Amino acid sequence: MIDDLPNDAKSKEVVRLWRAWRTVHEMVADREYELAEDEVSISLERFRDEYCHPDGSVNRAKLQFSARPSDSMLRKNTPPATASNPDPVPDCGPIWVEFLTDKQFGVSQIRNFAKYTITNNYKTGIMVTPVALSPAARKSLASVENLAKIECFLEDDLLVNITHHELVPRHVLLSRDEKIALLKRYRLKETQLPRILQKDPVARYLGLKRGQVVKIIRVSETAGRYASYRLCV
Amino acid sequence: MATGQGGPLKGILKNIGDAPEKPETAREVAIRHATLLENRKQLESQILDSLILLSEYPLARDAQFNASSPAASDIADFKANVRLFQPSDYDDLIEERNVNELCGYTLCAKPRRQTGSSGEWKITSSGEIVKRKELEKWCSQQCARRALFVKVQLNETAAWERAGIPDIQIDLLEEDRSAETEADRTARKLGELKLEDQRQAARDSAALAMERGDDKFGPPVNKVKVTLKEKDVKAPSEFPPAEAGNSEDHLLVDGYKAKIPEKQEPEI
Repeated sequence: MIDDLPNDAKSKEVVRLWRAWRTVHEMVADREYELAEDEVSISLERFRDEYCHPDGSVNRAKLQFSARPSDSMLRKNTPPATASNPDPVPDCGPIWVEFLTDKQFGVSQIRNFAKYTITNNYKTGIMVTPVALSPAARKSLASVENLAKIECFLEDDLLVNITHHELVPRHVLLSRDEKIALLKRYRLKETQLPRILQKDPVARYLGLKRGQVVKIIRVSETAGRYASYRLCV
Repeated sequence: MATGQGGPLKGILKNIGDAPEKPETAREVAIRHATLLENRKQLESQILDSLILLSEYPLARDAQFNASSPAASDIADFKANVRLFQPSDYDDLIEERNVNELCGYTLCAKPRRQTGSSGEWKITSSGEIVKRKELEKWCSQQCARRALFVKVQLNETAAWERAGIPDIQIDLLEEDRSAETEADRTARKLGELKLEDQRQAARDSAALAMERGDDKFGPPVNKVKVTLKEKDVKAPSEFPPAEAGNSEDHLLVDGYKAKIPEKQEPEI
């Protein structure tokens, strides 16, 4: 599908951004936000029609969208009701995704993005950048952590969807109830589970938070399917 | 055991569970460690704040100030803020300043050098081949020297281990004093010397207290109480005063004269 394109720099750029655009949509959909099917699997022609200048270059300012969590996701992320907190609120909210245009990323750019995300009441912000953040900018993300979760992805990292690779097993996020049931079933403490790092590529893809558990389902030659559980740290 | 004596068997392992820790002491220890961690976190965020602050410096950008003679207030701020940096933090600062399109040296207001858009390597005027990224960090070679002069004074030790030590001072390269007369210079040196003497005592004691762990994070918990006791030593017996002119001096060993037992007369 890409072979019949003219091979100049501009259309390469368009294809790159189209791939990243698709992957980021798939990512948001896999986290169970509400997205329409035709938004996720957008064709290159449509992408070019909608998001390109007449001269063929991509209009990055238009590459942004938001999504609301679906009901099942809200249910998954709601802590179980307790006596002191009979009506718990889910700890997830709308998500904001933006492709940033700057050539370099320092603290000020990050602050602008975080401010925008927080003032518009988004709970999660995903920024897709063409170049890496400066070290200070990355550290400064931690300071806004309790207001909104800001995630950064490089365009280069989103060119392919890693979860579609055959060597990447399926990761399923467990809800809080399922996690409690799992710990009860195996009589485990949380710390006795195997662990997965928060910066693990799949954990980043799913936007795992510390303390969440993923079920990893592998294909096994001897057992058919084999499920293991990992705690995000 | 084989000895057959009464009483319970004794393990050879160290007795750990002998005195179970009281919940209060456990809590105290936990809180102490938590405060330590909290302190580290605060220091780290403080370092980040000063990094962000310094990435916009210098504040005084009048024509009279430049990188070799910056405003005194800027110098003071820079020295105060950079004090706790590790060399890696300083590198982050340089990068952050470059993102702001400034020269990597904190007290230089000039924009950083631009050497065109292509090529990873560049040839300098002196004929050296250097990475373009390295070259574009600074506005000039002098600023690179000034910045690295500061960097080599920074310490790899973690910030929380030296936060309280007052005698970490950062100096700048060439503080320009060509306008000063001889008398001025002598007066300044004398003043510094006097001040130094007074401060040194205070600083030394503070640094010593820091090293000992008399820190500000609450009373130290597990300190050993030390009481000094003089050991009662038996003094070696004194030599008997040598008598002047004693002819048997040469026979004394440690004041003792070996006696040859007199031959006893065989009793008949």
